[in-house]
Amino acid sequence: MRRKPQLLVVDDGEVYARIVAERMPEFQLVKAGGAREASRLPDGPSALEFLEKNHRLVDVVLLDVHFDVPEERLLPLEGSTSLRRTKRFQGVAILDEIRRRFPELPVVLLTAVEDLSLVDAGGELKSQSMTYFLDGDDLDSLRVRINAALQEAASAVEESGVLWGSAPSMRALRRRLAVLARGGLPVILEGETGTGKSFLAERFLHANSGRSGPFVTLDLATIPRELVAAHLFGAVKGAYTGAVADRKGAFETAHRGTLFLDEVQNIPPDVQRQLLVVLQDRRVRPLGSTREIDVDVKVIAATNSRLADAVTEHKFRPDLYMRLSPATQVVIPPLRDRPGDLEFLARRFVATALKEPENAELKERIAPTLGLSPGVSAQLVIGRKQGKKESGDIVLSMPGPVWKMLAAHSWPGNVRELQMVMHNIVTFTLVGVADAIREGLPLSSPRFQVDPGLVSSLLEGYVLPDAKGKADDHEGGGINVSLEPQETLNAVSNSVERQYFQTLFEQTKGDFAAMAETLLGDPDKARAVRLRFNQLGLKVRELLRR
Amino acid sequence: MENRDELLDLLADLQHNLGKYIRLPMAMLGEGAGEEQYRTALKSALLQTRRGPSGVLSAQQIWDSFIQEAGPQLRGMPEFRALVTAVKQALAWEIYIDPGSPPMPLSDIQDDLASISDAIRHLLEGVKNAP
Repeated sequence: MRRKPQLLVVDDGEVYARIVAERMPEFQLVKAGGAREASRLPDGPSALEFLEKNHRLVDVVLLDVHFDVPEERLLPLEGSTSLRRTKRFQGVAILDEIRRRFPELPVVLLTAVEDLSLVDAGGELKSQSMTYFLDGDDLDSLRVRINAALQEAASAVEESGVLWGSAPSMRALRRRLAVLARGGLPVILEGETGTGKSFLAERFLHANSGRSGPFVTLDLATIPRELVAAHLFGAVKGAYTGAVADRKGAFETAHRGTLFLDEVQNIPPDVQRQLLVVLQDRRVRPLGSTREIDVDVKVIAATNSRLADAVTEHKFRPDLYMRLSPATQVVIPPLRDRPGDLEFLARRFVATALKEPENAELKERIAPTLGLSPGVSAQLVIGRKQGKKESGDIVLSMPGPVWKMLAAHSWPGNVRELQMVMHNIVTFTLVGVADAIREGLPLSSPRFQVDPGLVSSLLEGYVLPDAKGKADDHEGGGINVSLEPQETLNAVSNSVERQYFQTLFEQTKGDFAAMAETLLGDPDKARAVRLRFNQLGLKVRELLRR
Repeated sequence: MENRDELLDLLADLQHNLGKYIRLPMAMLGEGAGEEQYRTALKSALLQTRRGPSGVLSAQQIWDSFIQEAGPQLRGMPEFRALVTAVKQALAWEIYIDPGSPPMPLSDIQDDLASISDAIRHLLEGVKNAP
């Protein structure tokens, strides 16, 4: 039977607990305290004490605001000068403590937001993540609010392909982006490489913008300086040397849609002025043309460094910075700042690894021998957990110490790096399985242990792109990351991995045993490396010709 | 004007203790409730309005307590007179608590109970905006 959502009522009176118990059979009250207070907790201290031990049992807290309880049972209320006021807004003090200790716990305040305006806290509290107010004192309003809280708590983890995770910073980010998506204002997305700026721009901001036009990406780090203006605004034939035909600019292409300006800090100074005018006038004139075109475009500017610093260093025009609306600047947190999401993301990336085209051949070879369906997916099990029995999945068992190695990694390449590592773990493990099948070794179950050496080498092998997201000296082992319009994260991951293999091939002079030694700590696994090499579309002959 | 913050606190208390709790029992019944459930809810709304550690208070008791604290300036405001009218109208529905009384005009009763909250909000605004 499906578990009913568990509600904890924190209220000095009985009304709400009784209403939930009698009128809302779809929910269940958390059993809290002794028999007399079984269905509710009457004050802040008892609620916090209960949550300290049992917050995982609670799906939503229903919190009253006015608590007429003895003074010794009141939490101090910041700025309050009277006992009456502390009682009157005691719920605010309790909410502050809940937010501090359990930031992800949804709380429905049993009051209308306007009734809190007296302490000027209403607006501030309303903007808090996972905090809800009643719209009215009727059963439907209460039900709607509880369901909204439950839904947000669930959807905050994963939504339309966006893996938000459950970190408070990511929940806050989601709420903010949901607001920014709808407005016409430009948005500045700041985040380290690999945090998913372009993915969020397309899959969340554009997808939720309600705009009918296309999503267009322009990577300002990869376009030659002299061609940036033509790419942005378009050009007519003959406008510059090499303009052999009319070129439609990104603004025109993105009409009624979204234009994603990646690495916007790289825009040349002379083009910054032109961009400012286009943003102000909403009209664009292609180079060499006398005709102006009206454009309705939502601009998302992404940067992996602080744009404000570029302004201070006179590399970015302050008026353009202001026009891009720094008030809408959003910082995507690096993966190392939300370690609680690592396991969730790792599991998701393992689960999706077999859907990648390069693993299709492996899957086809392995599945029939193991008695699995052709559509089999992979499941990650950490430590001694058993995993879902009879799931029909390929189970990758990761020993606790190996997981700790992953958890201790700083993930300079962020989510993209994690995705690559997890996909590679799946691929290399399955290559080993395929080898075992080929050699006729008996396989009794689809559960395979992840090789600690493999994980270690994968973590060491990642080369961090420099601040510009690229390295000029490819020979020296740098990775060149360039994003093209419509480029998928997987394509970028493969590109980076391909370059890594290429560099390793060059360094080892094509010795696959040496490559396996570097990658997996085992020269006998040369075949596995060779297979992955082929999957990435790399050709030995071509590389040797270089 | 008397101490504005004290007046605002006084009205905020009234909003919570009377405005909110007088309308909750009936409003929270939802669809499908029967006549007897509504009578019980009305009784709860008017005679057991606020249950807490300090005991059970009726709407009349909460109102009387407020009146004792309300000073002359508050009493002199037009919004105050509207509140008095709203409270009198709401309390008058007590006659329908008796099981033998005629069928309840539900929407009229609920409107009158809810109008106390609206009247308190108007009075609050009046206090906030007073010179």
